[in-house]
Amino acid sequence: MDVNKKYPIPSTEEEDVEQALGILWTQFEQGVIKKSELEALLQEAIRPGILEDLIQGGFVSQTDGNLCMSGKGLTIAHDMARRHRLAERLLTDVLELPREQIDPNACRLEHVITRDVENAICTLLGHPQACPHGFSIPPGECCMKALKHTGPIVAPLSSMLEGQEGQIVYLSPHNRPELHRLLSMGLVPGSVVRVVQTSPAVVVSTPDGILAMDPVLADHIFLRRKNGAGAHHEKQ
Amino acid sequence: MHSHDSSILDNPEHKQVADMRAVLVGHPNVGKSVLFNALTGKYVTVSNYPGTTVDVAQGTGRVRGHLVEFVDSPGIYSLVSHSEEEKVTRSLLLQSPGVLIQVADAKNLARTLSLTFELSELNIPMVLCLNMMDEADSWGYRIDAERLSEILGIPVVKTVATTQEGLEELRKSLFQAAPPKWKNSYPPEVQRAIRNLQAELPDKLRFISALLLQNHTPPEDFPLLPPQISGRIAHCLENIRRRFLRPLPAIFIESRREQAALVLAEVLTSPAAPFSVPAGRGLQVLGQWCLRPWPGYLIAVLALWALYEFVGVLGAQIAVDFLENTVFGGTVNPVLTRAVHLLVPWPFLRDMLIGDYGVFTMALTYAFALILPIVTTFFLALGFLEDTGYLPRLSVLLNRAFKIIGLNGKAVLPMILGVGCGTMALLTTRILDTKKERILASFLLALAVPCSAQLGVIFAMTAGLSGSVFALWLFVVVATFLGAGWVSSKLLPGAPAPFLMEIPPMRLPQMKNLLTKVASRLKWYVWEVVPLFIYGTLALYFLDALGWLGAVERFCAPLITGLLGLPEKATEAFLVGFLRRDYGAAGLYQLQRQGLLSLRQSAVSLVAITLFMPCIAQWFMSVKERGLKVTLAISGLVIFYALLVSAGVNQILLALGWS
Repeated sequence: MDVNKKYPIPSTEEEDVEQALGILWTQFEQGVIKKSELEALLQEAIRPGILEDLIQGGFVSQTDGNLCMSGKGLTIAHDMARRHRLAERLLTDVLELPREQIDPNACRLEHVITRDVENAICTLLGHPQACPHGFSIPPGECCMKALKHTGPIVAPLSSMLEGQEGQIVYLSPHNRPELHRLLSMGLVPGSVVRVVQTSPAVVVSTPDGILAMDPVLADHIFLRRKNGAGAHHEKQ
Repeated sequence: MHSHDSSILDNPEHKQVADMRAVLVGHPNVGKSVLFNALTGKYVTVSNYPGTTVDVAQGTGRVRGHLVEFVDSPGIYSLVSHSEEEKVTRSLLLQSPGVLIQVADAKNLARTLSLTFELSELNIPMVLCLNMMDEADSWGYRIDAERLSEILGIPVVKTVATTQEGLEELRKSLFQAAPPKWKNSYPPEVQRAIRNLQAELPDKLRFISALLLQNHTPPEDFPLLPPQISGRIAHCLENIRRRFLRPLPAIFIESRREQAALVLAEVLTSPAAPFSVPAGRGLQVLGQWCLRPWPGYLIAVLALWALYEFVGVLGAQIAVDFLENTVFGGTVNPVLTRAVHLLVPWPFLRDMLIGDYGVFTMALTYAFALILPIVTTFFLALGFLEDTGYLPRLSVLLNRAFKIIGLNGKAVLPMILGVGCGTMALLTTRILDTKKERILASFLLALAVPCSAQLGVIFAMTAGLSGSVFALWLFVVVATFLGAGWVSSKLLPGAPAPFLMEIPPMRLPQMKNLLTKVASRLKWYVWEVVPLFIYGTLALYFLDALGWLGAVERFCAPLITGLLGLPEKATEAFLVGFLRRDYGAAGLYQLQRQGLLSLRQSAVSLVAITLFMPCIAQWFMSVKERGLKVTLAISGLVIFYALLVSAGVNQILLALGWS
């Protein structure tokens, strides 16, 4: 082992355990709990004998041919599923990686993302509820905190109310010419916009002037909502 | 056309030559055209509908005894092109522009500088003109132009184009223009990418490497690039793009914005409020009202009503009546007829000039007595609406309705224009983003948008009938507009561009600028559109002289009498309607007054003449804009739809027991 290593990187063994627990979480979500089925799956996805290791390590227990996670196992599985799915969202929405690169990268990221980074990504993305495949993202502390306030902090422009202000965090239009057009018209990450009206088209006031756009485009502009700027007192 | 004149770039002394060229470039709505008018004094060549087309206006002006050719380019947001406007402007700049005058809205320095930085890479002598300084002053912006000039290394001039303030300085600055000293500092990985690409390019094309990196079209579409290296460049670009996680254009724009913010911190003192529209100003409040469903729709109805009163009543009825009957009918045509009889001995030529389908009696009377008053009032009204900034607001309100028919709010302009004159309206379809939208708009203009000349007669005709005929006509035309639009938008391939539009602040139009604009458009009308009427009339004259007109009439008659249940005489009205839309309607009006049309026949013929072919001038314009193939396809569809709908109306009315 490298003694100079300041920060622990998960060893292959730990990674295998984490990976396996993550897979089990997904299977449990879908109602698959039979040991025979899951053993075959884990064997193929990771390595033979991994299930025995999980049971011996106290992560998983078995009753009547069905598997069940212990508290320790559940914590890790929850974190793995959450980090993996958040990573998928990040790679898809913000970094706009091609589809085939999403999963392999998310699989590696989930093991190195720390709690702080996990929560920062979650906040950046506006505490999303589901990954690109549609699986629900297990909520973390940051989501609970955000819920107490005003819902997600980063939200698409189309979800904002009249009079609300927000700072653009990122744009994710589906094709490049549109992205470029939005950017060159002043909708640049960092600039602050105010929603003037939402119907019949979304109208925003930007430092560059007033822009009107189809709600379809507003779905692709993500803003960090300014706290407290409510629709109540500014609604006319 | 893309041969690059490198001597212009390599040799800054060229500006000392007496004949120099200056291109006005900048964002939309910054006053380029007003400035252009002020610099040139008048339009020398107006190729087309300024402000709303992709065409380029050129004119000359005297500056310190030198003759300078000014070019007004379409507004752009960036040199990376996705609209027709940006493509035109970019190829204009990549050729040999001489001096570049970047016209800017002084209230909006952040985006101005982003564009300045982008333009600076072209390495062309440049002047930055901060226009609308009066507004910037009154909104509390203080700009240190001297410091900005130092930073950029080009002259920076403050102007108010509408009152011609600062124009003298701008003229003077043309002689101090220099390629900007400013160097963009992109992130290191981007700079590396630029260097890599530069290594692949010939020396004199190195300046386009940043532009190539941001471009999303294949490099072979890029002007200037020799075809033999475009393959290698494409490969190189592909390799570079793969190294970046985020789209390159986004990185470039954000980086330029960041640099702009740094420069702004040095040169700009802005008011505390971060948003560009100061609240509480009467005009801006009105502007906000115009955008909201309430009272926006009410204002829209009022505006359209005022437009109708001004163009449809004052222009199309009162002024036309006076010009057609009193001026042309009473004086001009009798005099011309007598003169032709005296001077032209050949009957063939005589008929060509003053016969039923004569150049004087039909084409010029039509062009000047009938259409000129309509387009004059229309241009006045339109120019007024444009200068106030109302039209983009109307686009927002009507965006949803236009979506049904596969267009977006931008189509408001051509459609409203179409109610004035379909020929003009066709030109403005160029502002639509995609080819699909342009074809769709041309089709709908030809089918279901009656022009004001025609509307006048239609209103007169329905006035004498029961209200139900008018209601029926209105319902069928609107339903056809929406129905045909919806069906064709599903059939034509391609997706419509999503609506995205800048909403300029509301302004009070300046009378003088409005009149200059109207004058230049009228001039365009006389030189570009009137000839179309003459060609059309000549074509009709020859058809008539050769006896083909009668043959066509006989051929079509069964269709009119059988399918539509109309009297045979109505055939002529439809044929003439192709030349003059209102003549067709007028022909029917005549039949009605003679008691030859029943209530059912009146209703059917009104629907048919509205939906039927547009006038021949619009047809020629369609050929010019969309090409012959598309125009023929549109014509076929229009005839098919018109017959289908009118025959349907006929059958339904017969079934309902209308005689």
